[in-house]
Amino acid sequence: MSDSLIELRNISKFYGNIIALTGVSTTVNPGEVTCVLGDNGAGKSTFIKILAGVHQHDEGELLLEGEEVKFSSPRAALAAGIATVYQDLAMVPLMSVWRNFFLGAEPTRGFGPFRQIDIEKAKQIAKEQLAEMGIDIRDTEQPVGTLSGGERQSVAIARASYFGARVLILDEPTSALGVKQSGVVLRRIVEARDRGLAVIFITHNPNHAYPVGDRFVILNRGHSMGNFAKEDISQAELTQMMAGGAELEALQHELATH
Amino acid sequence: MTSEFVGLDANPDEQEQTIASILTADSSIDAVLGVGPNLPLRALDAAESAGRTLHIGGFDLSSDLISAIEAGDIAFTVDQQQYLQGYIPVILMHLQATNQNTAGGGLPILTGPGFVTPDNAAEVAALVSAGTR
Amino acid sequence: MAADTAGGADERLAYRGPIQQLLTRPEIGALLGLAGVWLLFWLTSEAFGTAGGTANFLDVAALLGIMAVPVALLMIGGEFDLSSGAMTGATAIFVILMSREVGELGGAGFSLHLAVPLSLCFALAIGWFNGTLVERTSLPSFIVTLGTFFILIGAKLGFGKLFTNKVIVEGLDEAQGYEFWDDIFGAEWIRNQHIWDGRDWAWAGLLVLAGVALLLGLLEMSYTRRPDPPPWAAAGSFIGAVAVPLFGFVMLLTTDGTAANWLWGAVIAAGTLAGVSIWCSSRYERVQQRRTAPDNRTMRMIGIGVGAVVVAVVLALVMDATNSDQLGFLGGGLGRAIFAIGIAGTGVLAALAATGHVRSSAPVIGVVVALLPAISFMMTVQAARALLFGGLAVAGVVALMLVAARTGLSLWLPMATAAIVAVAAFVVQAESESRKLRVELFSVLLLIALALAATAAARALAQRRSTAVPVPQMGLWPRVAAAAGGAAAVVFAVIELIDGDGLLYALSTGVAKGGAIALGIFALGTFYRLLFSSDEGMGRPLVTVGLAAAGLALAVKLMFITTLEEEATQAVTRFRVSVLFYLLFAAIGAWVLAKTRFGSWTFAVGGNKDAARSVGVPAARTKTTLFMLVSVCAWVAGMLIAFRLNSVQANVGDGNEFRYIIVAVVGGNLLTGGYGSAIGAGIGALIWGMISQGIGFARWNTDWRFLVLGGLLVVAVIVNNYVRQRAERSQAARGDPDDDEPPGGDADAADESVSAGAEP
Repeated sequence: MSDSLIELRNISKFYGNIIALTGVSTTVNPGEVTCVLGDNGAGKSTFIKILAGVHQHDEGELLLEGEEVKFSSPRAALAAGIATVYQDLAMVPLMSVWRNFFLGAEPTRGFGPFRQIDIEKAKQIAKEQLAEMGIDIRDTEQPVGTLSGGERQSVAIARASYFGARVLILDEPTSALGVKQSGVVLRRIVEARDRGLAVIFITHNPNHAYPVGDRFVILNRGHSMGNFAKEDISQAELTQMMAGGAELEALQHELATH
Repeated sequence: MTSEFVGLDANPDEQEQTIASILTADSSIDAVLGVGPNLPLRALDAAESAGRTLHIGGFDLSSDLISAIEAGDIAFTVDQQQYLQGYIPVILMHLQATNQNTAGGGLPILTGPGFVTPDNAAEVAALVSAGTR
Repeated sequence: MAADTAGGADERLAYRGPIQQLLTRPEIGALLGLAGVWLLFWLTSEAFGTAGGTANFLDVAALLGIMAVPVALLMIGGEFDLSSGAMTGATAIFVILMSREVGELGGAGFSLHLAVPLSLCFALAIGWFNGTLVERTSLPSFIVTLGTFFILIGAKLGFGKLFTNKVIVEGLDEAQGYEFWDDIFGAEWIRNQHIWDGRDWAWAGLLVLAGVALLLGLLEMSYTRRPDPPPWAAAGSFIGAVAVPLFGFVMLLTTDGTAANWLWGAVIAAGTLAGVSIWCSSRYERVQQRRTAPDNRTMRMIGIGVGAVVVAVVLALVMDATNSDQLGFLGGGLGRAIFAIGIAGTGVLAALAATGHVRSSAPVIGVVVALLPAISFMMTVQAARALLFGGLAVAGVVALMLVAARTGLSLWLPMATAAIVAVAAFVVQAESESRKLRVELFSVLLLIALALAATAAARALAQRRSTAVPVPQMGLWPRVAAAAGGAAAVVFAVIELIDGDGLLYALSTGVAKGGAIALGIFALGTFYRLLFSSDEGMGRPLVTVGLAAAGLALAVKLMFITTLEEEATQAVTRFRVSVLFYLLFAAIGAWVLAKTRFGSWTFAVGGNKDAARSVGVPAARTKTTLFMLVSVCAWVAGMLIAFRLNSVQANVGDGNEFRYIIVAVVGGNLLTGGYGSAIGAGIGALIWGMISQGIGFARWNTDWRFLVLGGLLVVAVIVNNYVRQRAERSQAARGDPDDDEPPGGDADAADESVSAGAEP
């Protein structure tokens, strides 16, 4: 087990006397997609924030390449190669694609007061990187605001992977998207996985998670409902578990009696 | 003889250039009266840009205005003598209260207007920079 | 709209022509406004378009622009600085108080060598204070800087009175070190002292260079190059396009003025048209003919266009160009009745619009009716004439050109338009009393006709580009140009310094001369590459050369006077150093925004601060730097005011902060941040200067100026909004580069992209 990129052992997090997360274990490997499923309030965002360095866990162990770590800040997590693409995307809609791609890490040329962005290089890299992910942006000069939701997610993913991420955390990337757009994002997830990245895919939609996931962690009200490899669980079981089995059956029963 | 009132902006550069533009557009203007101590100086600069020699007058005093009057570039300024306007009423009241003096014989006591022209400019120059005139 | 929904059949970037590219710039609205305002006052007033008039409005624009540029940057960064106006006066008063020694409490008595840098530190401190307070407290900058504004106003008056006992702080020229600093902040270029009899030749030569470079650049950008251009093409067309018109131009200049000799005008036209035709047919792919027969609508548009131009010319001839009396045709009972009807109509229409019975824009009709009597008194005869002539002529030509574009590539319509314009020019020239109409308008109309005819010929011959071509590496040329220009700049600057001219004068003269040399070499290289290499994509360098040459021509014309002119005039035309700072700051602002990391971060913190922060942009530092940038520019403005006026009243600059913001908005900057342009702010300042001074030149009543400026602001914001939406739409639309196709399948995509763009 120690050759996993990230391993979580019984991670717990308390806010005062509120149990946000308790007893979560899973492993994250390069070239695998680990799906974290759960309904609203299940503890998904706490889970992300621990990995992204926003919060620190209170119990359990977080192992990075076999060594125990605790990320003190988002910057520390980023330095360890863990990049997070949040739901709201961290993009500036009125700025062009290439400026967004390189924002905060622009390549420069020249010296002293004459230092300026190497625009040609930046555009070229942005276009190449996006093309490598299978996104053909017509013009990297166009504002991000004119892209579709799926394209924006794709740009954010490409940016994270270009800047040296080994682990990519995607926070509900498909929740605000239509069926087709969601398909695009799922394809990106598979492409990132195929390039050797470890992907952590947070979602509440088992239909999105099952086709791309290699491993599933199911959260319910802060408790881990289990950590399954794909071969151990079917899509129906996954849906069932996620919604809290019995409740769903009750609902089906109720609807059927009408 | 006709006169026209022109409302000007608060910015000194715009004041000067607006006067200049009007002078350029209308060659029949031969005198400018600036309200306040600054506008006559702006009008003087404007007259130079427009290539005109004008009769320029103003109101109130400032060191720069006095220098321009001394040099003969500006014809006169109307001196309200604000110092008197503030000083005389107070001293009269004081004298009446303490000494039962009355002055002016029931008629207004005029505090002006005084005129500063090239003839008397040199005399008031020092008083202006001291802030009493 | 999205690449993935459309099946991805053609992902190629649709090529946008030079005009479409220009239309997507944020400052395009301001640029059009600038042209319109200049045209209006140029037509209305005799003096407005002269060097003296230009110096006049440039002076006002410069002090405004120096502040509007950093205020625009700050606005793009999502903040406001309400203390910026008061800060200009504060630094001016500060430097005088520091340098004067009057009486017991009278200032510090420092030398200006200490006082001036000290005032810069003072300004930097205020900027830092503003920025840090906004960042630390997360309060709106509106509130924080409003506080600073009142603190500064109070301090100016309080300290001024405390030290000098007066509301005017006086006597900068008595301070130590005055000469040195006056050479920098009080410098001026007095045109009358710079006589150059070769000026008109330099001006004409540069104009020809600009015209040729711009025309070739636009052709190069618009049309597809043929793989095997015949070798005779370059020589033949060059003789046509350059030599013949140049000969005609020289003949015009050596005879009696620019306009009167129609023979040489015809030679120029024939040469240019022949040159363009040979060039296009030999260098570019042949056009595939597609012609559509004119339908009724087309014919009607043609009728309207021709009619508008004819009416414009008749009006220009009938109405008196020199009459500055009020129009006043709607006075008395009739005027009052129309006003009442207009107001009542507005009210009724507004009520109907609110209840949804008529369109929401209907009340505008009532407002216009109500304003008619007022306009009739505001307008002079000459202003009305200018408006009617300019508006109708432009509308007519635009209508004709639109029809020409719609009917495909038929040659006769644009050529006929050009002919109409040319005839109009001759009519105006023959009949008019005023020199402006006879000479200047004549030349301009002829030039327009020539440009129309040339583009029509090119369109009829050459195939439009469909793909973008990258600008080729220019190799050694730019480096040689930069090296030679730089060396020349140093040499000239040193020569001037040795001659004992001030530091600033020496520096700027050196840079100007070096720049001219660099431009010459670069232009040579560009033309060499254009003619003797197989490079494509030379359009951009050519346009650069053309614009630079045009700018230089303008500068030459404005800065130098000929002996003849000098003897004929009493007026003194002076350009103050503020103009230099204004141009410099606008250029630096544009460069910073477009090319540097700081510029990118400025857009980012204004567009989405949290996003910027989360990817590692130092948001707090960026904003504080922006505030300090504003205060540094306020310091420059303050020094310019102090050295210009010598004595500064306590309230100088107060209230200008809103003017800076207005000017920035007029220039295409978004009030909510994240979008805008520094050059736009500079143009906005120029528009302000032109209007506020043009009113004086036109002898309109100055009481109306705020009404005009307020109207300008509203129009500018509407136009900018429209242009921005259009820009985003055209960037989102795929496929056909022509924007004027009816809304069909793309409509949804366009709407979606607009709403996406407006998200922050």
